[in-house]
Amino acid sequence: MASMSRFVIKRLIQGAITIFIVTSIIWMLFEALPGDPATKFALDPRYRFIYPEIRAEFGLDEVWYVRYFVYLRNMFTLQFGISITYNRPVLDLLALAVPRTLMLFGGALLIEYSLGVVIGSYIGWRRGGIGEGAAIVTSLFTYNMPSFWIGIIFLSVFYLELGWFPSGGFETIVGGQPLQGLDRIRDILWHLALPMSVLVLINMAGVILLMRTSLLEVMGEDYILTAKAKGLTERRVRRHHANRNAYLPIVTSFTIALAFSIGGAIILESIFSYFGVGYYFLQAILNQDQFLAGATLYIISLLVVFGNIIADLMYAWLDPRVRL
Amino acid sequence: MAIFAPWLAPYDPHFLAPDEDFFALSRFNVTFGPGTAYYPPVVGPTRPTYTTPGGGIWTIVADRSGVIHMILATEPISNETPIRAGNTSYTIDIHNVRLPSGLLAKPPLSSVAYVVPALSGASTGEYITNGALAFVANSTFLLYDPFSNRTMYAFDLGFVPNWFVEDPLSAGQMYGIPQEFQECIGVVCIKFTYRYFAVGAANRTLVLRVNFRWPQDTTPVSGKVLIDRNVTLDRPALIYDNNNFLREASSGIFFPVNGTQLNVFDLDGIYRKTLNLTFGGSAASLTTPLVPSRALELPVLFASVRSTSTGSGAVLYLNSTNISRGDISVERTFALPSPSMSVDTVTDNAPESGSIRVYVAANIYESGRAVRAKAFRLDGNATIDSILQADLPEPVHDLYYVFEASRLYMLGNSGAIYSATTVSQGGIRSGLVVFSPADAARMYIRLVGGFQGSIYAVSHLGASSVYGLSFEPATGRVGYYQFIGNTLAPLPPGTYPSGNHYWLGTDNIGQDVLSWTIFGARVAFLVGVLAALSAVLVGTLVGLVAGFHGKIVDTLLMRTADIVLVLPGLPVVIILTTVLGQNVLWIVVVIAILAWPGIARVIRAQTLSLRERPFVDAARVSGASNLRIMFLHIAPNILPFTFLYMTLLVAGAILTEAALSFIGLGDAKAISWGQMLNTLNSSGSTTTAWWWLLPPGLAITILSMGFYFVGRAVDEIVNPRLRER
Repeated sequence: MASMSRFVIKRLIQGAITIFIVTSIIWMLFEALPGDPATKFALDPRYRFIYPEIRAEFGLDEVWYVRYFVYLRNMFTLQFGISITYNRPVLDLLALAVPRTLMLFGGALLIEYSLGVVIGSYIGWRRGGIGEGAAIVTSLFTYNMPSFWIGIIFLSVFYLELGWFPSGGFETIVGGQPLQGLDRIRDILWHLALPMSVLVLINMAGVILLMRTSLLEVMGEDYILTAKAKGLTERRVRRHHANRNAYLPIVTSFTIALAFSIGGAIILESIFSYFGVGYYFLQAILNQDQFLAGATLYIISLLVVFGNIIADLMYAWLDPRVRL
Repeated sequence: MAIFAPWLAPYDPHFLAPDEDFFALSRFNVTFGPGTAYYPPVVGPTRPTYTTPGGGIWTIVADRSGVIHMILATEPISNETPIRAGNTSYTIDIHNVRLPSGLLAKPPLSSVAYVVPALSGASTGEYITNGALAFVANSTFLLYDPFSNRTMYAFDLGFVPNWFVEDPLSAGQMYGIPQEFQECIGVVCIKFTYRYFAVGAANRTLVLRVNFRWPQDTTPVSGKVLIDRNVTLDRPALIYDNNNFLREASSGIFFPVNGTQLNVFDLDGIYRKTLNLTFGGSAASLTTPLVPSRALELPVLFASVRSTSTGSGAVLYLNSTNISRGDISVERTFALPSPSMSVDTVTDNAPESGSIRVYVAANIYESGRAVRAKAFRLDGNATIDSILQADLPEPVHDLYYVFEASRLYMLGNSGAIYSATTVSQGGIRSGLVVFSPADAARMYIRLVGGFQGSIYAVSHLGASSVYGLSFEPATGRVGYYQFIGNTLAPLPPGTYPSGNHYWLGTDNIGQDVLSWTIFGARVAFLVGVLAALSAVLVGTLVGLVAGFHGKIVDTLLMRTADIVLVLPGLPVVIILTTVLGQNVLWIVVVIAILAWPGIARVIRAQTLSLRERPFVDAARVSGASNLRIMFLHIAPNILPFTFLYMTLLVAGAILTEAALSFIGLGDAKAISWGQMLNTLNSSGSTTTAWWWLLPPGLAITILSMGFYFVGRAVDEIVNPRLRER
């Protein structure tokens, strides 16, 4: 396992470099945005008195390279400033938002990958027939649906027509307090149901299609023929010879899907008023709340980079060749 | 589909459903039956302006043969007809009308005037009563009470006139109500109102003044000939009685004579001045009747003229400080924007206090024939303002302005009624729409006002209770139109009163969803294909170079690609478009910036394997340069992959553009599917208008799917291994 730990370390160092570069890119993007992140504070009577402090804290009056380093320092030490839209420190908002987003996406990823792999390998094995064609077309359809569109449809049907699920939000707040104990968990899951099912519906299709294609590729390999020739049961061939190898592209796709689907989260979270990172990002952009926008983008990027590292580690675990 | 959109789409992308579809409009018809020669209908309010409820509107249609039809329309309850069963209607045959001489009246009948009841001082309620009819039967002028079949006043003209008019104030067409006056000789006093009528024939023009208040008034009606001249007028006279307010300044009697002159009299019939109509230094002739300002505080007359030398048209503002002193002049001149334009319709102005605004529809001539028209609004300085400028596809011959609805209504020669808004109503509906489709029988339109008994009810009538009327002289059919009803849009799919069929309904401002969906394919294709093409171009180049050169170049390029791959797509697209600008081309660029690395990676891998192939060695041995090997030997082999990834990218680009537009950060001017969903979301009809929600989303999905299928087909060609399985 020595090769594995070496690989982990190597990958972590790479990740750190990536985060550094991505943070720099974010800094450049926000430098290019019109307006100064602190201007709104000067205009707001609540914050007017700390305006000079904010300028100093973010080095806004310094030359660009000083500004840049101050920015990097602030990002790495999680000093994100204050969100003027929500009248709260950005870090407080993110401390609540990140777990929510992780819950939504982690849950959705878990469901879509486990379900998708099962369905994909099933239709991969049962070649031909109407079932396969229907599954492919359905998957392709859901795969290409705009998330916000299907989100609206889900809301219309399951909230307005049927009333099964809430219109949005993270949880029910009664008298400023969330529910207690088991009720709270049930309540959160109830709120999660719609956005999560939309995510699963859209992203699972990709997994199904990829799993199927990947399985078909693997099925043509000689070692499958060998395994069958050895007289192994089909079940065993499928489990131990075909599927494990077919997972490899799935894991690769995970890396790409992550950046892509977290991006899509912005809209989905907004539609369902699910107060996650994406929701706050869009609100920040629409309200020119640059501190909040910058921090959420940074956090989203961090999540993507970490996701990638995890995917790579999984890949390495599945395919030992990679570790070399 | 994108290219053929103009042929496939039932409507233009900027098409708006006509008002009759867009609004819940009430319209009703009453047919009086065919007559021999109907005059344009007259509208008679029981109360000229605003007062207690209970009034109604008389619609009066007179036939030259001697029959007068009157029917009362009252405020409809919900969508009922204003002409309900049991409503009063009268038919007066002048053959049965007895003159004071004991003889019966004879045809031909002149056009009929409705004389509104007067306003009796400070009292209220009295003018709820009906007015009276004035007309000329053969050569006898009659003031007639149709409700009690009583001739109130008769005067023998001694000739059969070919035109007959009433002053607009007596007809209730102005902002005011005729005021009651009292004159005393000693202790004997008489209450009266000024009522003016003018009649004319060849070589004869006569102006009468009558003291009528209302039919039940016990004061005997008497009349007086103010002017009797042996002149032929070019057009019927205008008697502008501005009642009490600024009476001296504005009121007068105007005779258009000699082609280019106005003979001006005061209201006592005393000749004061001859005004020469000039425009551009030469004499000008009237092209329409003179139009008075409807508002009493704006004593202005409008004269549409045409220069006798150059033939170009103009609208003149006539103003006076004191007609009794003869000081009336052309205060302002507005030359029509094009010499081929002519105002052939009656211009109209609105009783908007404090400002002079005149609504003009000028017909545009080509080789002597009116072919099109342009409607616009002139302000007090005689300049076209930017509020209303509408191009009409056909010449118009009638118009009026409904200030309650802020709309100008015009009757085209085809019988179509056009409507143009004169305010931008929250940016929602503006510009020209067809209010009612072409109808050859329709000849006249008129403003009715509210059915509560007023034409120009000010400030208390909602736009939805203002009605108009159209008339078909051949069939005797009167149609009542509600101008602005309740907004119905987004309209569900179906056929609508205008005859238009909206296969997929309309959106909240009346745009056809099917047309938008079809036209939306353009932006989708443009963004999808352009973004994918540029991403593929960059990606292929980078992949080729990296794969072929290896070493430091490879490392640099691939690290860059990795970094871009890690960037969260949509958030970065959002920020970049905010920085660069929200238009379609920048969106394409931004999408391409984020999409190239994926391709670069794949192409690099392909290049790496191709680089080691014997044919590359062969090329190198024969002395081919690196560039030549890269582009002539390796590139052709990776092109199929390039194409494959392009098709897959198109779908992503389409989805990204749609998402951007949906959250309102896309190109707001683009006709795109995302924009459609964005307006849907902001309109608040998301959950009801399924016909508006489903098409754009389905279109996005199906187009993306289509490209995906193309990609799969390419994939099968590129990877022959896939084919057999």
